[in-house]
Amino acid sequence: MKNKLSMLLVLLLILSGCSKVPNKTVSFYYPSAQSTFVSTNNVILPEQRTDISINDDICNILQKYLQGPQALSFRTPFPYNTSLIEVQSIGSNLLIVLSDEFAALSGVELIIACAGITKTCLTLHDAVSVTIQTETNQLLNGQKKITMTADSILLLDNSAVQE
Amino acid sequence: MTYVVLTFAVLVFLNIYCSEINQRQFFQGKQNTMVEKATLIAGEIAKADVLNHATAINVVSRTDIDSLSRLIVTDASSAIIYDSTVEISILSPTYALFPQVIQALQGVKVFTANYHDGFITSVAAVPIINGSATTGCLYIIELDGEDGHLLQTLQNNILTITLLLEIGLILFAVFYVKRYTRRLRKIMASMRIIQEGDYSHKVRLGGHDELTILGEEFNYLTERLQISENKRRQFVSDASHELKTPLSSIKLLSDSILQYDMDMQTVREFAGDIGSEADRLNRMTLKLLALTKDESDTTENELEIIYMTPTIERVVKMLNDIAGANNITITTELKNDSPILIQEDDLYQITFNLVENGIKYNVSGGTLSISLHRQEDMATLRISDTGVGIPPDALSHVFERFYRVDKARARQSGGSGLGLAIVKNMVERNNGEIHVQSTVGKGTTFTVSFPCFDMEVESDEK
Repeated sequence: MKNKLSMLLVLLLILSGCSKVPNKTVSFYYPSAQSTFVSTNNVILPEQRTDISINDDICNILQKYLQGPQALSFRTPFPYNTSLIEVQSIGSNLLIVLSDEFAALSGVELIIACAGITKTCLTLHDAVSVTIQTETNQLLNGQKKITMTADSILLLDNSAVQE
Repeated sequence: MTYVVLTFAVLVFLNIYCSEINQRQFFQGKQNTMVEKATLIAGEIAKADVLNHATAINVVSRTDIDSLSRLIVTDASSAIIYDSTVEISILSPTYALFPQVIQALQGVKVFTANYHDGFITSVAAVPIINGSATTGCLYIIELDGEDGHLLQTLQNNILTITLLLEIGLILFAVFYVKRYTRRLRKIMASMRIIQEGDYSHKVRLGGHDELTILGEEFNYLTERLQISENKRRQFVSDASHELKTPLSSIKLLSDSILQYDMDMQTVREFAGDIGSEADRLNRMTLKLLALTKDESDTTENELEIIYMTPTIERVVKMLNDIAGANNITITTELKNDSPILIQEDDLYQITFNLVENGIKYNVSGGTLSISLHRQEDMATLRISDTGVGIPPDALSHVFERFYRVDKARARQSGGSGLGLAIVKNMVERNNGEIHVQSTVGKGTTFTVSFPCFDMEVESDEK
């Protein structure tokens, strides 16, 4: 009797494992919370979020994204009170308009933040490029907007390949 | 097994430690070279007024970068200005968000390296500083197969040596343990033989180590066991023989009384003889018991510091009548007395036995002198008689149990051959020595010595 029950349990477990689980996780890209990056492989890493559905409206998702990470191993790159103003899909480009607080960023910190937004958007939308600008076109590293693609963000150097 | 495991652990640790040290030294060398090169190039770039693609090309073209897999120059926001692996025309705003670049843009010189499959991948990133501001980053990466191969060869050699050493140690351990346990088994087998009673068995072990010494000690022990066993058998044999004789006499006499019609006087005579034999048997038994008690009683109870004179005088008083009956004169010279540590009863017994012997084996009209002497730290009791003496070949046996020089005379006088054995036992038990000198026909002298104890003794003892 015990053996039969055990076999039944194992069968149930296997079958439940085989069923297709709907992919409800959303990946938000944030920089690592570590002060030095050398020990980590990537500067920007994905946080898997199960509190958001991928089928939600992209504006709602990006609003959640701008609120920052939940896990302590990440940090938010956005200045305080940064919010999403608008999201527009123009052909294969996704335009992200943020509040002017975002313009407080500069240099490599701005690029890291933009890279995070780009990689996050590219997983949520079938766009090829992401353009980021502020509500009142504030300068971002001397430019009115920053456009990134997946190829324009190099997180790892694969040039040294062993032959 | 423990030895093998321990040595293996030590060798593995040494192997890992050596590999780590080698690797670290390689990396240290790489670090110095790479950072120096990157700093040199960054310094040249920083001299330019403007940091752009043209500036970077200008500097890089004058620099030997053949050994490098890639060289990247970025601006302060990590945008790539120059990349040695990508054609200029296809460059678009590409951002090198490598951890090393981010770190360098914060003003820190960075070096990382890792070793894998015979290749050392080294990365160096240094800030490009113009004035006091970081204007960009120089990033270089090198894939070194030559040094990596060298490192791998070195590590393989260390591993090979470690394995060979371990195999050698294991073989040595197996050989040594086999040899060692073989010799131990020999000893154990010998112990089993000894347990079965064959004390003559000896263990033969070669070599010059502790086991050899153990074997020799074992053989010495078995020799002593053999001697002890021989003595025991001899004693049992002698005791049985000695006890059998009076018992046989008693049996014969009692059978005679029962079987034959005898007059009362004869019966009384036979009964008297039975009594005498019984007495002799009794004395022998008591002496045997005393001897056994002496051997088993190893405690130092009732030892006291006493002068010998009072005890000697008691013995003389006790035996004076017997001496007189045998027409023997006892003389004493007891002035040079010294205190000794002894059981008083033992001293009495020793003196009694020796004086009694001196009377028994004396001639009529002879003398027995008892004297005390002091020689350095030894107090000496000397008992000399003018008796028949002891033959020279018997002198070394007089202290053995049941040994009698003249058996006939001893039996007549009721001797059992145990008296002197008891005396020697008691003397040695009280840390003394006994010696005998004798001349046949002139007499015998027994000398008993004890260590002096020059402490205050109770006045009534003296």
